[in-house]
Amino acid sequence: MNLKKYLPVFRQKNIPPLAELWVDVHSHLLPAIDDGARDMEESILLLQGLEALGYKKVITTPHIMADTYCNTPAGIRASLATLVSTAKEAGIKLEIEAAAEYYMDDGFLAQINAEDVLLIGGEYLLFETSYMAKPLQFDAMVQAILAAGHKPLLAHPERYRYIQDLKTEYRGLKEKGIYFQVNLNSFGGHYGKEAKIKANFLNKQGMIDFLGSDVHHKRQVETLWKIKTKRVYQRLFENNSLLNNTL
Amino acid sequence: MMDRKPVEVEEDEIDIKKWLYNIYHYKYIILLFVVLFTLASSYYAYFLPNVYRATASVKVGLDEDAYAKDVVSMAMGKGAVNSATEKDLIKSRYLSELALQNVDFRQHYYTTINFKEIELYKSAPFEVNMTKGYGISFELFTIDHEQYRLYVDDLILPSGIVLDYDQVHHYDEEVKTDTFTLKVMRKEKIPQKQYRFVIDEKRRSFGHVIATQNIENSTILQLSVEDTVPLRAQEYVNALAEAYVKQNVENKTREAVQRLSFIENQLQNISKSIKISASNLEAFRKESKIVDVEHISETVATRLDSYESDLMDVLLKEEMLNSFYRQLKESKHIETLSIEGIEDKESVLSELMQKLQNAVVERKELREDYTNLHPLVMKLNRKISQLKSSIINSTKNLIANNKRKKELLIKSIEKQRETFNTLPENARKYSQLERKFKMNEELSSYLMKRKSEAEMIKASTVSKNRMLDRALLPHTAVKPKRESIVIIGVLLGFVFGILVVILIILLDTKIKDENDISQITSYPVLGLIPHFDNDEESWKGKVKVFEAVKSAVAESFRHLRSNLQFVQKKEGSQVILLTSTVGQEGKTTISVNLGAIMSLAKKRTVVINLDMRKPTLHERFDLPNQIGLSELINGRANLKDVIQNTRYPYLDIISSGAIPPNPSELIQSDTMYEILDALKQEYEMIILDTPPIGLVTDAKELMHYVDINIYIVRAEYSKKEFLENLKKFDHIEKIPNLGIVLNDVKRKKGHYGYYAGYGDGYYDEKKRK
Repeated sequence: MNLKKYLPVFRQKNIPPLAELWVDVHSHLLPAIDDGARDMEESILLLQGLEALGYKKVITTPHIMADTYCNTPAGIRASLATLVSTAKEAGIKLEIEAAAEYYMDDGFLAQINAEDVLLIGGEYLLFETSYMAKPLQFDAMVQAILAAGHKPLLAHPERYRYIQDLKTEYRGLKEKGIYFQVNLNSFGGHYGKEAKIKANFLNKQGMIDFLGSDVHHKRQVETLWKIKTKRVYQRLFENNSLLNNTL
Repeated sequence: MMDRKPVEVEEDEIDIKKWLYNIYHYKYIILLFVVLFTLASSYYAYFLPNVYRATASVKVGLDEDAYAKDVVSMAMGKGAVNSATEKDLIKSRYLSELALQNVDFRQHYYTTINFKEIELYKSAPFEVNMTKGYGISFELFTIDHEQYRLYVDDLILPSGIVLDYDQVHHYDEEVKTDTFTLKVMRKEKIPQKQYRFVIDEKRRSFGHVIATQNIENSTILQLSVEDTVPLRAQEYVNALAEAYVKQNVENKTREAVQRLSFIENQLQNISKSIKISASNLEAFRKESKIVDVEHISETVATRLDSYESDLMDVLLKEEMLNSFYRQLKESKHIETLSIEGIEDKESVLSELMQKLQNAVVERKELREDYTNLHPLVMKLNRKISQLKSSIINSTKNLIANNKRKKELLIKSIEKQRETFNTLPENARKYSQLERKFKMNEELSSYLMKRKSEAEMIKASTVSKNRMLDRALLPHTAVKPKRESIVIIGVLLGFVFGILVVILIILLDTKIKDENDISQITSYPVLGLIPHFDNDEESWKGKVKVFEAVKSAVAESFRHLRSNLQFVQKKEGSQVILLTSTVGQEGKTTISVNLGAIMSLAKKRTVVINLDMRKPTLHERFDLPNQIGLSELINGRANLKDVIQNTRYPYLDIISSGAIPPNPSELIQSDTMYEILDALKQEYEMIILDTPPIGLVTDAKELMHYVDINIYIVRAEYSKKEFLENLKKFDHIEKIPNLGIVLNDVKRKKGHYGYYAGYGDGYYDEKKRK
């Protein structure tokens, strides 16, 4: 028996990733501003973790949510400045930028129509909705984003439980001009079985535009390592035309 | 903005998916039925007795005459056998009775092994001799190799006597009571503790008899018996096969047997006569010392001799004729009667008999295919009855002829006697005796000849059927197919379970999820509130949204708040009215938490309890209910006095106040509108907790005044008809800006669940606290 003949098959898993993700577009790294990093120490720890994963640039996105995380663009920028300088001192070479993850609630319209809007790469507006029910005004809000001249980027579309008929509903969202940002950890089942099924569906359909880490705490950095060794990670690059590295 | 779109449902696909999901939801009920049915069928299959099949085969001979005459059977070839007739014969009670003469199945012994009672038959370790007490089920408990306990439990006998028996006896000892007499004989060591036995009074057959052919028209028949006892099946099938072979011989020799018995009867009489006449002759010879007879008397004597011999023949024939006539009249089977000894050369009787027999055979063949009413059969019947009457007539004629002959002979004999009487007495007497003796001897030898002829016929008849294979003792059971029974049980359980689940779903009248609402109405669903806090007591002094600001519940109210902002029709203060169909649907809880989430958005909010019959609002904030709305409307208090500040910023309440005798009038009064107008100056959000419209219609007028109407439906509690009634109510009242909130939505697992695993992100209050 010639085992060597079969060896490449087994070794395939260990081949270093052909494509790499340089830019992360979704994370909660700013200290004590939302439910992400609780203090500067944790922020630095998370940044180091992301750097080790091979990222060269992170665009962190704190929550903006009426009555819960009442962040303002100015506040976020101030916090970013502190983080950047602290990171430099800590020897982190990562390029750090900040945008925001807007929650589609009663304050949403006022936020996006304000003069100062936080965008990813200067054009993508990252937003999320309630997980359990689709807001009645969803379509109108998306129209408002487009009208304001931004590209609507839906955060983790695989996590919304109100999406039941995957094919029709995701296609409908795409037709409205919405970009999709899928969480890498969804492929490892970090957000549950349902989110994993939906993430795999989106991957197979080639509907993913951006991949995000959505890092809140250390554990999520650890699980990202596991995703990188999985075959699905390579498939993500094969099936989708990912825009991460264009930023 | 609250536009009512026509409901668009992709009927087919969604329905099937929904049904499958709903059925899947009850999977444990289906599983329960599968398990129950599997257990039941396994239990049934286990206790179903083993059935063994013993098979013997017989070769069926052909009736040469029968097939020679039958064109159809000739066409089918020599091997053709009327299999249906033979199979019916094998299954007949007649053959079963014949077989049972050779086998005895009256004794039944049972014992229980692995909870299953089995019949032992001859392998029982003991045997019972019984003369009385048939049919009673006796229990036998072994004590040791000498003794046993005989037990009958309160058995009501057909005679009405109750038999209750429990005694210890020795083996081989006769047990005699009023109701039974029996003796248990030990054959070998008795292995089991407990046995049961029943002895039947009459022989009966056991098992199911089957007769088959391997190939159509084959002359070989397979006889099978299926029985729970393999040995008994074997014995019975062999007995049946033997009886089948034997009955054919018996039928064929019946004629010869009949003739033989008649001849034997005659012979007996004759031999008696010979003895008597021989001894008479001897005695006379001794007494009269006559050595020879005179020559003169010889001619007379010879003549007389011949006459009397003729008379004897005539008499014999008369007797035979009479016997034949009698049988003719009595017997149904004329065709089997013998005409031996009565036929005359000039008589047509034998020809008639032949015709009759042919006719009967022909009818038999026809009757296999047609009924009695068939014209051919009827024609034959007529022919047969004609032939019968002809035979009877000609027999009558023969009898009459014979009688005339007899009379003539008697006359001639008397004439000769007169001549003879003139001869010397002694000589005459001697020759008389001698003549009688000779005559008897002649007759005897004639009969002996006929007898041996008949015996030869009887002996030389062989059965046209013969036994091919005797049955072997079956070792493996042919029935029951236990696996199939269990598989059928599993399938039945599955089908039955699904049917029950479908029934449960069809009979379920409760609203379960958002889809149920959208199927009935087109009102927008403004919010889905997840289930929280089962205990009503725990609501007191607590507001969930404040208790857990980042919980799924708070998040669901935030969602409701967003949707409310979306459906509001004008800027400025909003008056929101909450109602439901009955109580317990969560009206007050939602009012309070909605107020809380509004206040968190820094909106000045007041919650007013209009449900004066059920004042509980103040309890949620640990506030008193000394004065409230009822006092305000009555004019006994002013607005400033009734507004109570809660410990949360931006949130105030007005409690119901003392329960008034006329709550409906108060709510519908003009003062109420004045109060609301006044409150609009102070507050951005005015939330009205109103009585359920399914019970009282107090809030009917207000619904037209307010900006948004929220109708609360509780999952797994509110009935679908509530929404139907709401539609009717709205149709009449034309309620403006009406939306629905579904309360108490339970966590569901599976693809269609809303909250499965919710909170593994960052809204879970437990994880990050």
